[in-house]
Amino acid sequence: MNDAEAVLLCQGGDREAFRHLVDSYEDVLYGTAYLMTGNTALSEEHVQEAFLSAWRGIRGFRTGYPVKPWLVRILVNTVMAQRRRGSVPIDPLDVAEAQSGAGDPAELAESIESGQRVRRAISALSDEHSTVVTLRFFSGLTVPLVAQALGRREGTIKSRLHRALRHLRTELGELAPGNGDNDE
Amino acid sequence: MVTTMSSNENPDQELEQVLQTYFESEAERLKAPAGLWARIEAGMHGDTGRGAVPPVWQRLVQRGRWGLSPALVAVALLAIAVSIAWLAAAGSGRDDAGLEIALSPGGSSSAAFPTPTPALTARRNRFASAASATAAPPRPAEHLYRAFLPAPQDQRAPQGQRAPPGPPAQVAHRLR
Repeated sequence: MNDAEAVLLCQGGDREAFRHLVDSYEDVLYGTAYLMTGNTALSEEHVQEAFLSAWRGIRGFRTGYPVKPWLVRILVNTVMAQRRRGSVPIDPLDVAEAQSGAGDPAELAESIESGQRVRRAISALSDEHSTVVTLRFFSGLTVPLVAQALGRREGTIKSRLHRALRHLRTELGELAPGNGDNDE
Repeated sequence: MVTTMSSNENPDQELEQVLQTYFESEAERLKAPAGLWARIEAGMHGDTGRGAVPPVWQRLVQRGRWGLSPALVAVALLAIAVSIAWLAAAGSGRDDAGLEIALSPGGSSSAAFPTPTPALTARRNRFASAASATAAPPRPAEHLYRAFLPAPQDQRAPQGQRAPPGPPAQVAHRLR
């Protein structure tokens, strides 16, 4: 079953077809939520709320369009609403276990160090810029789809992405030595 | 999950590689919790949203084409039907002989009562003479529907003194 077929079945009230969509996109939505909030419990809540919103609104979804940007947009709106309500506490346990997958201690240490540096650099970005970077590189959306997901113009997203990458290049000069044109 | 940027969007391939590696490692650890679908499904069971097929009563009140709900259309049609029936009943009521009797004693009342009893005839004659002698004031509600009825015969002028009412006479003339 592909996404279009699943959407059609969901529009007829088929819950199992919706489960197919949940299974396909729960990881990317959860990861996106976590990278935007830094809180596991809140990420679960956001993903659950986003999927329920998608279920409620799936009859208005135009078949033939990609499902992932639509789901990501719902999630982003949910997270943005939470941000407007108040600040979100960072879950420190998640940061500590970030690089537990590496085997070799030297690689593990290097991975942890580089990962932490990238994480710090991304967290130093503004919310708008870090969201664009997350949707572009983690969620795997193209620039037009990021624009669609955020409800912004494509030119706005390109501009934000350019500024975010310029800032990251400054912060991560040693990791990307050939591109350290510190122009800020 | 992680895609690469095209060279048109960002020429900084090395920074892109750093970000790609970082987000790949993040994707490996950021997996959705196991019981997520169960919680979503529980929420769907308690959800009467538009994704599920709504019950009959909800479909009746949901706005459909042109923003009208079936229930609203049904109520409007029922109101129109009741109005038409009421108007038809009111129109036929104007020709009601019984009502005409109450307003115009004598004359046409004989059509409603082809064979009046002697006592009724005597009482009717007494009423007619009394009405011609002293015009009784109209009853309180009489003026409300008197305007919609033909003038009682005792209030009409004699044929020779006054021209008959306009429209019926003109129609009659044309018919001749």
